[in-house]
Order: sequence, then structure tokens, then C-alpha cells
Amino acid sequence: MTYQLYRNTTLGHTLQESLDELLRYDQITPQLACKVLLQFDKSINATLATKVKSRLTFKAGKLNTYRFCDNVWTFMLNDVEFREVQEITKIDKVKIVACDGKNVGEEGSSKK
Amino acid sequence: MAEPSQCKTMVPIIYQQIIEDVITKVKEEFLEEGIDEHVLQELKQIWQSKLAATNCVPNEPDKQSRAANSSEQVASSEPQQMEPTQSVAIASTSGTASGFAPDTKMVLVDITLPSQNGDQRVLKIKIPSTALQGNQLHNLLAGALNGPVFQAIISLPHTLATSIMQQYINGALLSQPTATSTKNPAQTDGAMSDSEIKTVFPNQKGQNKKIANKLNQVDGHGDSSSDDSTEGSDVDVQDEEMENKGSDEGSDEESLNSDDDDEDFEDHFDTDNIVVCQFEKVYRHRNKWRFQFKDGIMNLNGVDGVFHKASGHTEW
Repeated sequence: MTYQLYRNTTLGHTLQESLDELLRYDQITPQLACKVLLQFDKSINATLATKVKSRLTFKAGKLNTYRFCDNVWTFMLNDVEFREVQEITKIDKVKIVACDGKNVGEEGSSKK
Repeated sequence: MAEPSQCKTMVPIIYQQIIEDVITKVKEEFLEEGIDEHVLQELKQIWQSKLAATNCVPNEPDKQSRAANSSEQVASSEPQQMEPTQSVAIASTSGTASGFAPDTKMVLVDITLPSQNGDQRVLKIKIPSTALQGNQLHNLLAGALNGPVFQAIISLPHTLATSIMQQYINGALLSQPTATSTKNPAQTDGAMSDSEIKTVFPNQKGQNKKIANKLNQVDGHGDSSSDDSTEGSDVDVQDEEMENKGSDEGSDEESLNSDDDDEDFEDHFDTDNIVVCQFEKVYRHRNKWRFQFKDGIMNLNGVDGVFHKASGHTEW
């Protein structure tokens, strides 16, 4: 399972802007731009799954909104504290978008 | 084991790996489409400089200056500062394609923004050399100065501002070449290599239409992933875009599937904090929630982070 949700990140946004620029100057076709994005999906999914080791915890003062749709959770959290070892990041508000992590690696599995 | 804040220190490494991976793996696709490899390298370069310009990547202090230098690919020998709005072509760089006729010579122009906070900013914009003739560019910029475009870009980061300005100019030029090119075709011939101005026209309609959502539509038409179709830059264009959407797609709001990133774009505007990840477990017991996420990318307080696992809890 390769998710497209990582396009909505700094890396994804900047790639899309870059492709847009090339498209605008007719240097690539929309189809090619599309292929690049699909490759981006694969690369980022794979890299995150294998190369990133950091663990963190967070607690939020309040769950403001939640939504579960199409197997995607969306949370709006308030007063959140992210912690990794001793480094703490505090923020007023965060939006978390999460696809189903269980689908990865067991495609077609009936296990939900 | 884990160093403090590995989730941040890993970001540049991870990002670079992803960029390399993408670029390497799409190479074949580019060749198949007969697109020169330098375009691929250009893509990489633009991507990296845009990324750097976001300042979201931690621990790369020198990035900003680099971004400023490389934000526009066009070779300019050395940017000269010119008086506001009046800009002068410097290194002319032919061959850079654009929405304009393929043979149109593109020239690089510096536009110095009126200083807002004391520091002047120079935007590098590519324009077709034809626009330098007559007062076209002058009029355009004079109009822009009073218009909302300047107001909007003046506070934006450099690359964004450049990009918007570029689009504005392109859009404006493309919507009015009829005037210049039909009025005095002989003159335009003079300055350009072997131009075929007429070839501009077939493009025009499409281009003009695209202007409204140029920034937004990043991955082609009707692509299934309208994922984040809106980027933080189109301040002015946004309204039009919304209208377009309304008329094109009726009132069909894409609120019920995973593509519903409209909110993200608002969040983005607010420079809100966002975490994109996968869930392993989401528990709820009464009003208590517990989460286990993995493979996340975050942007918190404007700084990116990545995590393998994140667990948390809250109450509703």
C-alpha cells in the first residue's frame, strides 16, 4: 500500500510546486508529472518505513475534532506537547491525518 | 540510544534520500517520454531550492542563502539591482521554454520590490523578450504595483513571491500579446531570433484559463489525487479558484474521501501544525483517546520532523 497523503508535506508540496513550474513552461507533460508524484509516493512510503527510527510521545489537552472516513483518521488536537527524549515541542493546535498503517505490507489482507 | 531530537536531525537526511530516490527512479520515465535529462536535473534543483526556501528543514543554516541564489534556474550573470518596477533584461537565456512560443527568447529581469521593512527584495522574473518592447512590461508592472498582487507578495517568502510574480507576469503577458504582436509584428521580429509569434496563440486560451488555478493544479488534469491541490502561495488567485471549482464541479465537495485536503490548505495558510502519518491503533474509552501512529512527517511550529512511532493520548 502506497499512500498519497505524504504529498501534503513540505517535501510533497515543494515537489508539486516544482513540477508545476516545469509544467508551466511546457517542459514536462502532466502525465509525466503524475508519474513523478507516484514515484514520490513510493519513495517516501518506503523511506519512512525503513529509515526513520525516532520515537516520540505526545499528549493533548483536548481532542477538538475527530473524523474517520475512508479509513482515514483526522484529528484536531489542542494544547499538544510532543516529546522526544528530553526535547519538548508545545503547540496550541495540530492537525493529524492518518491513513491505516495496517494495510501496509499486507495488501489484500482481510484484517482491518 | 536515540540522540535528542532525532526526529529533527534525521529530516535533511531522509529528505535527501527521498529526493535522490525519486529522481533516480523517474529517469527512465523521462527518457521514455523523450525528455532530456537536464530537465530532470532541473526538477531536482528546483525541488531542492524550494525545499530549502521553506526553511522547514532543520539544521541547514546556510540553506536560505543558497535558496535565494538558485531559486530561479535561469542563468543570470549577476543580478543587478534596478530601480523599482523598471527592470532591465540581463543575461538573456534562450531555450527556456514557457507558456510562450517555443522560440521566444526569454530574458531575465529583476524587479525590485519597494522596501517594506527596510530591506529591498529583488525578484527575478523571466519574460519573453518581446515584452520588453514598447511599454508592455512597464504598463504591466505599473498596473501590478497598484494591484493586489504586490500587496500579496510583498510579505511572502522570496521564492514564493518570485513564483507568484512570474505567474502574474506570464498570465498578463499571455492575455495581451494580441495587442503587441498583431499591432507591429515587424518590430517583434527584429528583436527575436526567429520567432513565430503566432504560435503563441494556440496556447493562449488554455494558459489563461490555467492562470486561475495554475498554482493549485500541480499534478495534471483530473488526476485522481487532488491531494493538496492548493499550495500556500496563491493568495489572490484563491477566490477565482474557488469559483472555478464551483462552476466546474458543481457543489461537489470532496469532503468524504481521503483527498479532502481543503482544510489542509487552510491550515497551510495559517501555518498550522500538521502531522501526516499512519495509524496503528486508535482507542477510545468514553472520552479518553489513545493513539499509536507510525511513519509520520510533521510540521510543528514551522519545523519539519519525522518519526517512526508516536503514541499519545487526549480527551474529547
